[in-house]
This record gives sequence, C-alpha cells and structure tokens, in this order.
Amino acid sequence: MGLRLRKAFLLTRKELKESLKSKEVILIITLMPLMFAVIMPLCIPLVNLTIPTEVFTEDDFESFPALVPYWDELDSKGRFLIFFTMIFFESFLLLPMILPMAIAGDSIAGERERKTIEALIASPLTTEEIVLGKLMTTMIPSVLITWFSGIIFMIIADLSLYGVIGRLVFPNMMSAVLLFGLSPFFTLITTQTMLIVSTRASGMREAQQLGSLVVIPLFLFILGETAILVLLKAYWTAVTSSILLLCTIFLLLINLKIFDREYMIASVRG
Amino acid sequence: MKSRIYFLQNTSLIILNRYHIQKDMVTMIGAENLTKYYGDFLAVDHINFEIKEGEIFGFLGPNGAGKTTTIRMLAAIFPPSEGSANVAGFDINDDAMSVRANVGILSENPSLYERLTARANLEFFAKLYDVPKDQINARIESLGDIFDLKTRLDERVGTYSKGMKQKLAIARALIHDPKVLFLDEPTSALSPEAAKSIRDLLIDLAKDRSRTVCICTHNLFDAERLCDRVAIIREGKILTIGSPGEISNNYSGPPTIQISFSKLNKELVSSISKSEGVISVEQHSVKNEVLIKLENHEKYTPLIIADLISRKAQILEVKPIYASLEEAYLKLIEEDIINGFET
Repeated sequence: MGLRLRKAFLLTRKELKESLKSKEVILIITLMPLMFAVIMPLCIPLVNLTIPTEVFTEDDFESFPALVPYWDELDSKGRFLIFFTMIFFESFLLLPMILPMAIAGDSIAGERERKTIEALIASPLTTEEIVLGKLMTTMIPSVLITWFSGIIFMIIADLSLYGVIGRLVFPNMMSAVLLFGLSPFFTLITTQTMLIVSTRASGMREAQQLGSLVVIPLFLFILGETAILVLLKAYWTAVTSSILLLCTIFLLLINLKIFDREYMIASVRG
Repeated sequence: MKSRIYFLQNTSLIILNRYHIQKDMVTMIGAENLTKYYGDFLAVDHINFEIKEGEIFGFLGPNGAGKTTTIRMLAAIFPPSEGSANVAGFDINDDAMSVRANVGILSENPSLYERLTARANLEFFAKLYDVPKDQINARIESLGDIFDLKTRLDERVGTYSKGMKQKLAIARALIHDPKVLFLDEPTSALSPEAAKSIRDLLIDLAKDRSRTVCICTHNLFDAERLCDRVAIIREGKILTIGSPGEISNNYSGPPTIQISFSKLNKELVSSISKSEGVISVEQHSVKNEVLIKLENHEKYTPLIIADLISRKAQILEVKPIYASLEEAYLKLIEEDIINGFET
C-alpha cells in the first residue's frame, strides 16, 4: 500500500492537539523562543552601552572577513557589535534543535510512556504513515516557530543596532541561508535522532537526555557552516548542505527500519 | 440494551439457548499452526482453531499463557513466527492492513489520549478507519448513548474514572463497526452493573448483528455467561476447546445429585449409601438434604428415587448440581501442570 499523506496528516493533527495540551511542551515552545529571539538581541544595546568606544583601536577587526557589505565603512566598535550580533544569531540556531527535542520526546517516547501506542499500531496505518505523521508533528511547529522567532530576532537586532551604526544588519544572505535554508535540516536531523532514540528509550526524559547529545555536534556544524558562509561562500555551502541532506535521508531510512511495531508494543508495560 | 434471560441452576448461571453456533456458519477466524517466538521463548505453540461468524469465543488461561499474543497476531498487530490465520476473509500475513481495517481491538491498556476529549478520541479513530464523514457524529453519539458517556463526551479523558475509560476504549474499538472484535479483559475495572451492560452489549453484537467477538479473560464467571465456546490455553498450547458446559462436564465428571426431604432420618441415608452405583453420600442435616455422587447419574438416580419412594420418604426436590467452568478449568490446568512435571 502506498503512502497516504491524508492519513499521516490526520495523525499529525491529533498529535499536535495533544502535544499542545502538555504544560511542559507549551513551556518550552514559548520560553525558548522568548529567550533566543527577544532577550538575546535585547542584550545588544546593553553591550553597546557597557563597552566604551575607547576600548577599541582602529586596527581591531582589520583582518576580519567582511560580515556585512558595508564592513569597510564601519568603525571598530560597529564591527565588534555586528560580530557580537552574529555570534548571538548562531546561538539562536540552537532553537531549531531544542524545539524538536521537546515535541518529539512527548510525541514518541511520551506515547509509549502513556501506553497509547498500541491502539495506533493496531490501526490501519502503515509504518511509513506513522513515522511521517510523527515527523511532521515535530517539524511543522518547530520550523514555523524558528522562522517566526528568527524574524523577530532580526527585527529586534536591527532596531538595537540602527541607532549605533545607522545601517540595517538583517536580513543578509548568511542569515537567510542559515534560517530558511539550513535550520529546517537541523530540525529534521534532531527530530529523526529523537525518533530513533525515542523508539528505544524507556521514557520521555531518557529520550530527551539522549537526544540532547546530538545538539552538540550539530551546533559545531553550525559554527563551521557560518565560517564557510563568511569565508568560502556558495560552493562549500552547497557541499555541506548536500551532506546534511544525505544525513537526513540516512536517518529516515534508519527510522523506517527500526520502527518495529512488535517492539513498540512489547516495550509498553501493563 | 435488550434484557437477557437467565435461570439459576444450582451454583451456575446458564444462559438459555446460548450455544447457537452451527457448523455450517461462516468461519470468521481460522488459525493454522499459529506460532509465536519472542527470541527463544515460545509464547504460542502451533495452535489451530476456528471461530464462526456471530460467535463469542473466549481464551482462558493463566498469566503468560499466550492469550494476548494470540489476539495480537489475529488482529495483525504483529506477524506470527510460523503458521497463519485468516481473519474476516483476509490473511494476517499477506494482507495485514485489511485485517486491521476490519477488526476492532481493546488492548490490555485502554490506550486513550487522556489530554483529548472522549469525542476527539473517537473522531480521530473514526477518521483513521475511514468511517464516512457524515456518519461520524451519529456514531459517536450512539456509542455515547450505549456506554452511558453521552453527557461527558466533551470532557478530557484524563478526568474519567477507570471504568469510564474502559467503556470508552470499547466504544473506540466499535467506532468503525468491525466484523471481528478482540477484547482483552473487557470487564476488568468495571463495576458489576457496567460489566453486565458490556456483556449484554457483546451478546447483542454477536447474536443480533452477527459480529464475531473474541475475548481474553481470567474471569471464568464472565466466560461462562458470555462465551459460546472457550479455549483453555496454557504455555502457548490449547488444552481444550468447547462450550463452557461441555468443558465442565468433560473435566469435572457427572453432576452431584442433591435430594431435599421434608424429614430426613438415618435409615434413609443408610439405605441410599447401600444403593447400587453410589460413590459417596454427604448429609446436610440442618437443611434435610443429601448430596450423592454416582457412578452414572442417568442410570442410578431413578433407581434411588424409586427406592426412597418405596420407603415412604417425603422428597421435596431432586436436582443435579453441575460443576462450574471454574472447577473444570482449575482441574485441567492442575492436570496439565502435573503432566508437565511427569514428562
């Protein structure tokens, strides 16, 4: 039987309704974006106020690659503030990894913990439809919240910097590629890892703890990716994006292979 | 729900005309050498049976006997290690999806989404099982009515009592009007009234709507009242299959004859003891009753009664006491354990 998208969406809709009734999930998907998209860029004016201009010399950031097209027109403090904002933006990209951990943990390991998996497995849904439904449950809110939060981050960061440098930092090519091009991959990889971990973890907490291990290498990847974007531009971006795509496909195949209906039921204790 | 007619025959409740299943009726479930291994552990051992359309069939057995594994294989939740089964016209190995679409299942756990309302739970499964859109609401209302949940359909399942959750889980199993229903301990966690209403509903489903009901239970009293036939299963093997009455007779021997007198004296008891075919006589002096075990009750009961009448005994009542399914079940399991030790 082929993949019926309508069935997978039906599962996704139910899962979202259910996940959004979890206090833990609600807390994470509201507090984390608030922290990363609002509080973090609001620190930029504080940095500007607390670090005096005299600290910088003209040579600072001289050999640094241009982070914005008007880099040469900026003084050292302006360059420092842009550099600082970019570091914040990179940290912001932890968000597309934290959100799926909360949602996927609740949706998969949580389902086994709450012993609701058997009715689903007994229903006329194929394994592919269940896996796709669960993936979409995590992907849709995580990606949308990340994009929305990213736009908020950029607006607040621009508002904070405009008074100092008189120019807009965002949007720029790097932020667009990272936010709209690569962050969905980060979400997908985290989601798939959580799916793999959740099918074997004894509960939601264990799944989230194990899943968090994937965030560290992914974050290092983001740092590398940013450097590539700044230094080496399009060619290497295409190469690294392809690696991400291959990782995602590989993880999906693992998920379809290890989503064992029998194991899922046997692991639910009465 | 329609009321059922019961009559009390000694200690057993017997449902009148319950065993209505005929050999020429359509086979709804047919298992052939159905086997399941969990690693090296043999959970279900090459079992064979047939269940007819409209039949209520029970799997009885101690914990870990393989009852739940059997119905999970039949419901195509997971495949057998060996053998096959045909359920509702579909092979569980070749067409598991069609099997799943045509059966309803209540698992050991109610498996309900507690953060959602009862209505949302039922609606989700109705859509999953392709119930036509214009029928979904009517079915939910009707099931709410049957299970006495109508006024609480819009409340979160987490607020429900254990019994209400069990009823909702059965309602969910029925939402797509399946041809075959698998129920694991359907009356556990239910109050006596709720348990009775579930039993009545299952009987109606089987008899009036020709649905096949397959239950796993520890509750022998339930099995006796509900099932047309039962399979007693232990260590993955079927020890016997038959109607509760047949199994009781086969494994507990002939009935005990109870005779009540208006006045009972030692001479009468002594004469009964000396009668032909009598194995033992037990006297209940307060009630003026004797309980007689006979080699062959059909042959010797009339002779004893004739002898008592000739002695001018004032007999109030003569009745056979049949063994319950529970007695037969315990005997069978005990025998199997002893045989197991001996071999």
